[in-house]
Amino acid sequence: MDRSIDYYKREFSVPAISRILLCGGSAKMNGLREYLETNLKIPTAIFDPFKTYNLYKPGTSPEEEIGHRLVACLGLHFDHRAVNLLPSELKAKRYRTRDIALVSSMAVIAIPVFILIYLFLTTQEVVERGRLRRFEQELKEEERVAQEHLRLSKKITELEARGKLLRDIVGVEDVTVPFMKYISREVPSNIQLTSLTFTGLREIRMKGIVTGPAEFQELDLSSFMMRLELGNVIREVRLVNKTKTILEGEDVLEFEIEGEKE
Amino acid sequence: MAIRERGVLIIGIVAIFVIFLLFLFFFYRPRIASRLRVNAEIKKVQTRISEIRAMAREIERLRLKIEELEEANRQFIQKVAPRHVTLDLTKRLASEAKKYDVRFLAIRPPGLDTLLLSETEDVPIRPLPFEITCQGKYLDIGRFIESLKDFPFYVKIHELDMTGKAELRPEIEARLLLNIYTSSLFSGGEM
Repeated sequence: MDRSIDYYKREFSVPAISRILLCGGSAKMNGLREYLETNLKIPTAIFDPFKTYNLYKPGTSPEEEIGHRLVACLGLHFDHRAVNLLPSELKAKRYRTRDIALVSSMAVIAIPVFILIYLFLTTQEVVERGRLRRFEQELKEEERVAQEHLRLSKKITELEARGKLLRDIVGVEDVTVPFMKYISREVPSNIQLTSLTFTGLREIRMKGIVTGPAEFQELDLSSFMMRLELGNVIREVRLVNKTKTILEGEDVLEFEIEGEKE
Repeated sequence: MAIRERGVLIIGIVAIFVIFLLFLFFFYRPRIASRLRVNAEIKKVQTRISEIRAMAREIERLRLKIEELEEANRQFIQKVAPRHVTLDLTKRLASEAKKYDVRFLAIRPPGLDTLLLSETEDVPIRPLPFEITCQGKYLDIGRFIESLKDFPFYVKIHELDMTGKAELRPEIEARLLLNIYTSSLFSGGEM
């Protein structure tokens, strides 16, 4: 056995045998395992694949565990196709032929698919470009309408600007007559205006006299000024001067007021 | 099965994958990008066509508006006195005033330099100020001023100064600063 072990070590370049497994009918021969372990100084055990893979029924006694005797049967039962001991060079050669065929098939399918996709996309693009050209042609024809629209819009702007320029020069509607009507309405009977000046359609200056009882004349003047101020026609009504005087033997209050048209 | 035993298959799959990537980057994506660009251009052109069609529907309305504006401007210009008739207009104003029992006492025209000033495109109308002294009743003067809006030409009161005098009662004296709007560019409503 020593010679066999030496041969094994040398032939398979194995530095040491880690353990010995015993199987077959004589594996459990009394003292065989201990004898080998002692003399060979290598751990030795019974090889029982049923135990290793837990194939015994629960409750099987150690005497009934005879898996070590059935190793050969188990080997016979093993599927021969699951193991291929062919050298890897031969295996690679066999696969190469098959793989070349497989890769070629994949290439034969993939490359035409790529070409078809490319052709489909190119065709679609050509169609889209054709549509674009048609729309551009249509747009070119329609652009004349746009130019006409632009020309008309420009003309409207010019006409509006010109109209505004003309109207701005001539100015707003006449405000003199409404103002004169307003003054006619607002001047009370005991006040006589001697002068009414309306300058630049904005500044207003009035001169006049207040008649009636002398003690109420200033009151009547203030009342008149208040009415003008609150009338929303004249604002900032101010008294420029007032003088008590006698006119044709009667006490009168001469006044001068000014304001601005709203 | 060791990987090195299926080297041909692996190299083949890698080669096909590389071809796929090359196809993707150099053929597929440029085509898709180009197609998207063309589609974007189509959309832009279609939008522009829609805008122009909307404009086309507006053209008739614009033409009508131009006619309206031209008519409005023409009517406006018709009321602007041609330069050569301006002085005669004051005489027409005096006769108009007579209808309302208002008498013109004095008419002071502007200076010759103002009268002879030519209008330009930027200032196509110019107000010529006339100072008129007139006499009449307050209400008559008011009615006369009111009637100016129906005068064939633009005449606007710029300044009004009314004075009551004891010797004139019930009449008053009024000083009017009239602006007659005139232009040497217009003649009978045309430029």
